[in-house]
Amino acid sequence: MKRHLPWLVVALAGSWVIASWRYPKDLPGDLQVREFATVPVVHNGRVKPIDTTARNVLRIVSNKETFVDSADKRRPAAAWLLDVITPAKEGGCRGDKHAVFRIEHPQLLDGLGLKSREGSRYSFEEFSGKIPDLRESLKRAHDRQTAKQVLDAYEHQLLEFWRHINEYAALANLDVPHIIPPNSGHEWSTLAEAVSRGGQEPHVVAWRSMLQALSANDVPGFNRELASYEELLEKERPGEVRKAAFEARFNEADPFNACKWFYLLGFVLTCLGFLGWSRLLSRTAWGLMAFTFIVHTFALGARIYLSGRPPVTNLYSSAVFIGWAAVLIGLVLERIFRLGAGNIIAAIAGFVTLQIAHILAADGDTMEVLVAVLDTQFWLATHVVCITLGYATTYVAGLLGFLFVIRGTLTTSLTPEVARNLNRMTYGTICFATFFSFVGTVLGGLWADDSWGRFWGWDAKENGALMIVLWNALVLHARWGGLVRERGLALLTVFGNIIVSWSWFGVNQLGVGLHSYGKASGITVTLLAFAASQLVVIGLGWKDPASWKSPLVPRGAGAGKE
Amino acid sequence: MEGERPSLNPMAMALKAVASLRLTVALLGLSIFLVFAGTLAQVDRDIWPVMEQYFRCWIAWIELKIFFPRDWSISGQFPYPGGWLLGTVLLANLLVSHTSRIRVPARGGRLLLGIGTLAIGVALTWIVISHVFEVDSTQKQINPTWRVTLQLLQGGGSAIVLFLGCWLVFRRKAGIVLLHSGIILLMFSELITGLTAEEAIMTIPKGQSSNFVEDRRKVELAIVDTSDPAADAVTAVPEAILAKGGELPVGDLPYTVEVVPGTFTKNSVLKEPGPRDRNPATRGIGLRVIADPKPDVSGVDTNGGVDFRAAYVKLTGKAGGEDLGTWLVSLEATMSDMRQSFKVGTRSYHLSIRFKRTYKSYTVLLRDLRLERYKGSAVARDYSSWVRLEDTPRDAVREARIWMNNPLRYRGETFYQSGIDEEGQSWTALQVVENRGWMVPYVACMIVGVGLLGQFLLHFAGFLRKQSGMV
Repeated sequence: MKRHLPWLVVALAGSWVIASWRYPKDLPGDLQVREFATVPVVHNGRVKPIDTTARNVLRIVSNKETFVDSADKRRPAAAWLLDVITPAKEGGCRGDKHAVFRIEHPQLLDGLGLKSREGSRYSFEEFSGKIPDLRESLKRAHDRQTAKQVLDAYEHQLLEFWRHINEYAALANLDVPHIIPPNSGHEWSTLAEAVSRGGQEPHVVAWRSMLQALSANDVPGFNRELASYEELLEKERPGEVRKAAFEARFNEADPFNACKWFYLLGFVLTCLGFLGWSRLLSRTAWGLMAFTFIVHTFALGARIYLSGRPPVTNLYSSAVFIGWAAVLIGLVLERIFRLGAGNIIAAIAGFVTLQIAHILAADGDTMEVLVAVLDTQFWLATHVVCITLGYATTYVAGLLGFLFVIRGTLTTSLTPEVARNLNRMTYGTICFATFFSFVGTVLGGLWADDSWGRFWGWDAKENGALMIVLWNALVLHARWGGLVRERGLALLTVFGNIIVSWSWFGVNQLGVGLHSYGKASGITVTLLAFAASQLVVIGLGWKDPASWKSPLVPRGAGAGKE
Repeated sequence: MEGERPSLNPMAMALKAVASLRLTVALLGLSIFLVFAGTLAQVDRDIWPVMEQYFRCWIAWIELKIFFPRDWSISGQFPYPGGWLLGTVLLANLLVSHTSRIRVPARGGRLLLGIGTLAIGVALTWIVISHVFEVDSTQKQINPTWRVTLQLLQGGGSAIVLFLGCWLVFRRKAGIVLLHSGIILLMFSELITGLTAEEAIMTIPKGQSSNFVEDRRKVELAIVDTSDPAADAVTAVPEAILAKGGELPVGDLPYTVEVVPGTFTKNSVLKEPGPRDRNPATRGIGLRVIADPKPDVSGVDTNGGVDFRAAYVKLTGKAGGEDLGTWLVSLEATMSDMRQSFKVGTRSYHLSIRFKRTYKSYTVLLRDLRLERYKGSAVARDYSSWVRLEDTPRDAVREARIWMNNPLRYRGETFYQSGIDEEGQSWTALQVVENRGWMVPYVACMIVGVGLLGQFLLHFAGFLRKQSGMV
């Protein structure tokens, strides 16, 4: 029985994944929301299913991809979208009743006449009357933002809230998405645009009938219209229909989320393995994570298929990709050295990066279109992938250093043998990190030369990449010169974590430079906290090795000169 | 000189110090901090002054305030080794440590063969760098991916030959030697670029031609004699001289031009004069507006956020000493098409501060342009310019489509699509860069890449040999 535990766990995880890949269906007599969700539309520059639009907008206003309706039932984003585009008898739309707007700042709640409540989500109906009162402070915040002044938390929330209202209104008016597919020489258009040029096309007729059926609560009518519209699309644009359906299914299955929890489970199993049954649990964890890695790879592939782009195009996908590469390295290291360290790295890297990706997804579409200068498959596939692999490998080295210090100072498990092996892993990883970060950085320079005629411009993001290259070179030279041994190498690589994080997220916080497309807000504090935590680890490892829990014999050979 | 035996020779000791890996590590550490500071400084300052103040200098003055939130108002600065200094010492460290530490294990025929291979490699590299295989993609409509791949392959080819040579000569250290040579090449290329490359912008309205480029970082005071309808006579005074003030060198114009003391400003905005504002102007646009000083523009600007220089100049007739007025000259006025001209005798002049112009031997005609956006999104997908370059003295004509990531190269100059008007209908801006050594980084990248990879493979092969030896 014990022998089979790894296979059992993998089989369980596998069936869970397969089950989640089944796209749910509504009961025949009910409103066919799930079917409706797969209809292709154009939003933010690309063809996608309505499902993605609904999730993106709902995510923006509510930070969730589902909502709880008035009957206290959790329902999919597409159902919310259907209510938002259906006018209500008493004016506004049916969606106005759904408590989806996330409002947390007390001053903003106060201004909107709302009471703080659990979940912090409010319906449009509850506060719409108070919106005009905010006009003055909105204008002030907006002016301050335009003048590039520092905004306080309230002003941030206010502007953010206003953006949410606008997204919501655009959806309610069907200004987005473009729902009418190209025909008779016109490109994708909104319903209003199509109506204004006659509106006799079958697509327009179909959409209008669907909307009428919705207003009249005519469920069978809506379902009938939807079915015939889908038939029409299937005939005209089979490729887009298939892709949109795939994307809706991908959204629903949310494989990255499943991966995240499996990695966490892998972490728990590995840690349990340190207490007992170490070989079995370690094998189980490895098996589970190897399976998860396959799912992770499949999900990455699906994103490449859906976006038609190389794997990394923005911060979100860089997180997913860094996780992927780090997990791969961790699994390979575990296979070679069997120390548990590879497992831990795979688990931590997988879980943390996917969690970061999850947070970054709140910005909206994670497969957004690219500005002209980025629209080059070649450079995206080479420079961006190399740079991201550079981040991943430097982080893996940092994690190894972290493990070295933690195991050495807090446990007795860091025997000289383990220390030497950890060190070899770190050294090998740093070599790869140097290669990827150097080649990636120079390719970036070549890209800049190719688009702007400037190989190196000391731009913030370029500088960040350069710092990683220099740091890795420093670590290698320090080791070759015998300036550091095992402990020193570990401490240096932990500091490398700070440098990579600076390059990955920090420089975006400056809000300057040609690369400010990768922007993210409100993470400066997190970054500083992370840097501080790494410094604490370094401080921990700085102590005299004689006082470490693991008695590390200072070693002359092996860690010194090549 | 192996540096193993203790030596009292001060020369040898100095060399040993310069060659030490300790120094390398220290220099790398210092460089990282410099780059970090130079990044933070961009929050307050434009990229160009930062570059001058941190990287392209011997001593950098690092401001303390850049490390803290800006509303803490911390002042003070400290000296720090600048980019030139760190680069030079790194280079010395690299060269000395390699010549003193790397041994040449090869002997006899092998050494000769190795040196021969290296010579071929160097020759190949030289050929690649001098653009012998250059592909003009705008002429052949080649896919950008292929063009860049070809450029990298050329570099890769010579790098592999160099690696073979290094392997024959240096054996186990082949990769180390090669990759560091690549880094030296890269550093030199950046040095040369920093010293010589010229960047400028050519703005062309649709259907029209242009024969000059503008340097958006420098301005000049231009006095244009427009009396001859066939050709304008331009007298230009560079910014540096304008900033110094005093009487300006204007050649044989019939009047002197003098900057009103203290009126030159690096950045200013035009505004209507208030009742309490001092206005030195007595003629021209200066009667309607005054220049109000402002701090410098921050960060690398993508959309031409420039410093609006302005000054007041006083013109006095050379013959009779008559007052021709005090004029406001301002870049902002020029950019918003506020023109001012005057007559002296029979000749008419136009007076302005404008971006520094360089006239070319060719003209570029903008035949057409296009701006494409993603559907349902304000994001630009592509912008292109169709141009016709005519170089009459050389009897050369080029027709080309220039778009993002697909420049036109002509006689050491490269034309990049840089900007276009909002609607994509009326004008285009091409970045024109003169840099003959643009292939060097491609080659250097491949040399370092091949060196790193080769070294790891050699290392790995050694590791495998050891493993199999142990069994």
